[in-house]
Amino acid sequence: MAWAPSYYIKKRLTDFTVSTIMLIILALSLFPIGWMIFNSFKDNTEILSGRIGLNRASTDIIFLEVDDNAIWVGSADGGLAKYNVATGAQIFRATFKTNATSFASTEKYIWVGSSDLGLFRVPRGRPSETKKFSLDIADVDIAHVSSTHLATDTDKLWFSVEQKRITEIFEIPTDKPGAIRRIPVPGLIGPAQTIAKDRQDSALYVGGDNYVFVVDSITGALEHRSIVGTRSRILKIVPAGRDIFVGTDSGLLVLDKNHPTLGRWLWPADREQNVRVTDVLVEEKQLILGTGRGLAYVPKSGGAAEIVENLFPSSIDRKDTGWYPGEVLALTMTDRGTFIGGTQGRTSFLPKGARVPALAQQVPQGHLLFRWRNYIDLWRNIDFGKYLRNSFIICGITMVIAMILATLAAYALARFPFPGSKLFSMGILATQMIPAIMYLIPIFSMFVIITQVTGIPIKGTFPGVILIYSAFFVPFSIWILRGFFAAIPRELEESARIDGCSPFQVFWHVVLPLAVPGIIATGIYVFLTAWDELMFAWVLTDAHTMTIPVGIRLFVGNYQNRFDLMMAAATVATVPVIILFFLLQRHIVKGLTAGAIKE
Amino acid sequence: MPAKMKKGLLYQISKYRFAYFFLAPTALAMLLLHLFPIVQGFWMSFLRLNQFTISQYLGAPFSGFENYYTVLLDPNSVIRIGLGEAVRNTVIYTIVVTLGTTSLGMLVAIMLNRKFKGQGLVRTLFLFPWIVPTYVVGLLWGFMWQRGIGVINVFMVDVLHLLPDKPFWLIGPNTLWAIIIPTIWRFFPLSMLMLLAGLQTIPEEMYEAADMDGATPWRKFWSITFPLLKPVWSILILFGIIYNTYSFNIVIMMFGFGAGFPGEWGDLMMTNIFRNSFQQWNFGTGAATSVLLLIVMIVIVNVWFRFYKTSEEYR
Repeated sequence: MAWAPSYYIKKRLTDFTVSTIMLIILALSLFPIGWMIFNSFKDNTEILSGRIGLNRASTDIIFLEVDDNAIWVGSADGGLAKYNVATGAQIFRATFKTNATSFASTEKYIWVGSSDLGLFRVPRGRPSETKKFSLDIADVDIAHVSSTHLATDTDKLWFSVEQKRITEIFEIPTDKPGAIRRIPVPGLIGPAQTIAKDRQDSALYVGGDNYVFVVDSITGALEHRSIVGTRSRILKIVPAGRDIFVGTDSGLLVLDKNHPTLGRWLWPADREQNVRVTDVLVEEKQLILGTGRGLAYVPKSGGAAEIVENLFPSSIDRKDTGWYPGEVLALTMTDRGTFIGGTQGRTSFLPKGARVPALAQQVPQGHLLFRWRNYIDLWRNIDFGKYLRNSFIICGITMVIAMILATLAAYALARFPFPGSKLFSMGILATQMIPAIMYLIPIFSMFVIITQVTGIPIKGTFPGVILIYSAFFVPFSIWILRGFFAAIPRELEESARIDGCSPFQVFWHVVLPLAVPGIIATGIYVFLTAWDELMFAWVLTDAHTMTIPVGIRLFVGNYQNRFDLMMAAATVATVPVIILFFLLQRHIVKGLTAGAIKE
Repeated sequence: MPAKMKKGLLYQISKYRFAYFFLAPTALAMLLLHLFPIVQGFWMSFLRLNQFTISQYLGAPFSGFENYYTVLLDPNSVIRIGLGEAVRNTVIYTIVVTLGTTSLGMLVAIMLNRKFKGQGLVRTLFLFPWIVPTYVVGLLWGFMWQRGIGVINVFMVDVLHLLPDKPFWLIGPNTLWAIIIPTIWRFFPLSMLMLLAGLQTIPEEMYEAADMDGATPWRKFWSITFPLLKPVWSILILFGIIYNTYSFNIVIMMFGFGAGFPGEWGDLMMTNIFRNSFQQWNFGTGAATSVLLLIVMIVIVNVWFRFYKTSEEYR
C-alpha cells in the first residue's frame, strides 16, 4: 500500500520548500550589495589577483637582528617580535599592520618604516615605549607604493619610497624624526629600489634604474654611478670594506669601491633558475647569500658555490607551483651560526658548519587584510567629500522646492474640478513618456545661450541644476501626492469652511498637517530619484558642483582598475539612501502602493 | 461634490481661482522647462546643429528633413548603422527586462504573500536592490562581470565548474545579458512591492472556493491571481517599457568605467543619442532621434491603452 501523506504534512512540506526557494532568491539578490561592501574593505592587489576571499597579510620575514641573547624578527605585515635565542620564548611582539613595510636598526632602536602609517621607533631595551612618527611625504599614493626601504647610520636614517616619480631619498635624524631632509638623487629617473649606507664614510648607495648610485649623504652630490645590468632589479646593497656587494634578482654583483664603474658577477656561475639574492653576509673567506633557492655559500675567491635548500621544517604547504620552499629573505649572523628568515613567517637557525637547521620558529599569521584605507583615500585623493556635499545640497534643495510646488498643485488637482484640470493631469502623465534627452539637448543649448547673452552663469551652478531637477520631479510627485490628498476626508475641510476659514487657511491648518506623512514619503522618493540622476548632472554640472555619479564617472576614468576605490565610492553613494529608506520605508511603501490597490 | 448648476466657463474659473493660484508655479515651471524645451527639440531636429553651428542655437541653418534622412535612410551614415544596433539592443533589452522584472516580482510576491515569521523584514530586505542607485548598479555589476577576477566567472568556472572556460561578459553578444540581468535585479523589487499590494486585496475566499473544486496551484494562479492582478501588472509593464527604453545609467557606468562605448551589443538608444549629442556634438541628429523615439513611444502607449480599455470592458 502506497504511503499517502496527510494534508497537513503535504502543506508543511510545500511551505518549507517555498520558504527555502524564497530565501535562496533573497540571498542571491542581496549578494551584490554585500559583495560591494565587502570589496570596499579589500586591498586592490588582492582583488586584482582574483582571490575572492579575505586574505591575510604576508608574513614574509624581511628583517632579523641579533640583540645579546635575543633576536628581533620583522615580518612584511609590520609584525615585530623578539625571541629569546636560547629558549625560543617570545619576549615582545607587536603588529603595526603596515603597508610596504621596511625595517632597520640603530644602536638603541629598531625602526619600522611604511608607506601608510609612517615610521615607528621601537627602543631595543623597552619595546613597550614604541613611538610613531608621521612621515609627511607629498605625492605618496599607498596603492602605488611597491615597497619602502630604510638605511641607517649611528644618528641618521634614510627612507625611500618605491613609487613612480618619487626619486628622492628622505633623511631623518634619529633623535628628531619629524625633521625630514630631502636628498634628490641626480640621474635617478625611476624610484629607488633599495638603499644602503656605508658606516665607514658618508657614502649612500641607492639602487635603481639598473644602476647603483653612490651619493654623498652630506652634500647630496653624486659620486659614481655603476651599471648593474639591464632588467636587473636591485634587491640589496651591502658595503663591506673595499667591496660593495649588490644582490639583484639575477645574481650577486661585486663592485670595487675605488673603481666602481664596472662590477664582477660572483654568483651564479651558470644560468640557473631563481637566483635572486636577497641578503648577503660577509665572512673572511666566503659569502653567505640568501637566495631564492636557499642559502648559498660562495667562496670570495670565486669557485663553485654550495647551496643548502632544506632550511625550514616543511610544516607549511603552498599549493602554488614553482615555489621554492627554501626561499630566504633575510639573514643575520652570530658567532655560533646563521639566523634565516623565509617566506610565510618561517625562521630557523643554522649552526656554524651545519647543513640542517637546529631551531625553527614560526611567526603568527598576518592580520586579515580588511581596512578602512579605501575610504580615507576616497576622501583624500579623490575629493569625494565634495561630491557627497554637492549631492546632498542639490538633492535636498530639489526635494524642498519640488515638494512645495507639488503639494500645492496636487491639492488643487485632488480637490477642485476646475476647468482644465483633466488637461493638466494628462500633461503630467505625458511628461513621463518623453525621453529625458529630448529636454536635455534644448536645455543645454538654452543655458549656454543665456550665459552668452546675459553673462549670468547657469550651466555648472547649483541653481541651474536645482531648477531643472525640481521641475522634472514635480509631475511624478503630484501624481503620488494626489492620492494622499484624495484620501483625506472632505468633511474636515467643509466644517472648517463653515467656521469661516478662507480656502488658504483650510489648506494650511487642516489639510496640510494631515498630509505630512505623504509629503515626507514623496519627498524622500524625490530625493532618491535625484540622487540617482546622472545624465543631466553630467552635462549641467562642473568641477565645483559635480554630484556623486558624475564624480564617480570621472574618477573611474582616471583610476583604471581601482576596484577597491570604486566599491568604496559605490558604498558611500548607497549607504545614505539605504539609511533614509530604512527609516521611512513604511511611508514610502504606502505611498508607492497606494496607486496599485486603489479601487 | 454635489452637482451644481452649470454656469459659464468664466464663472467656473473664478470660482476655482484658488486652485489656479495653487497650480500657477507648477504650471509655469512645466511651461518653461517641459513644454518650451520640447518645442525647441522639435525645431532643432530640423536644423543643421553641430559643433560649428551650436553657437547660433536656433538660428542654425534650416535643413528640412536632412537629420531624419541621416538617421533613418542614408546608407553611408555612421550614425544610422550605430543606431540600428542600438534599436535592436533596446528592443531585446526592454522586452526581456520588462517581462523579467514583472515575472520575478510576481514569483517573489506570491512567495511573500503567505503567513510566516519575519514577513515584514524579508519584504524590506527584498526591496534593498531597488534602493541601490542605478549608476552604482552599473559600476558594481561591471566589476562582477569582469572576465578574470569577476566573482560571477570565479563562481561559475573556478568553484562550480559549470563552464570549461571563463566567458567574456563585457565584450560581444554576452553584453546584452550583462546589462539585462542587473536591470532585472535592480527593478524586480518594485514590481514585487506593487504586486504584493495587489495580492493582499484578493479575498482569501476565492482561493478556498477553488480549493473545494480541487484546483491545482497552477490553475489557481492563471484563473484567479493573474486576471485579478491585471490592473497592477499591466501598469507595471507600461512603465517598464517606458523606463527601460529610456535606460541610461546602468549601461553608461558599466563599460569603460563610465566613459566608454558599450560596444555594438551593449549600446542602447539613450547612450547612443547621448554620445552622438554630447561627445560628438551632433545635436541635430540627436534631436531627430529623440523625436522619432518619442513618436514610437506614443504609439506604444496608445496600443497599451487600447489593450487596457478592451480588457476592462470584458470584465
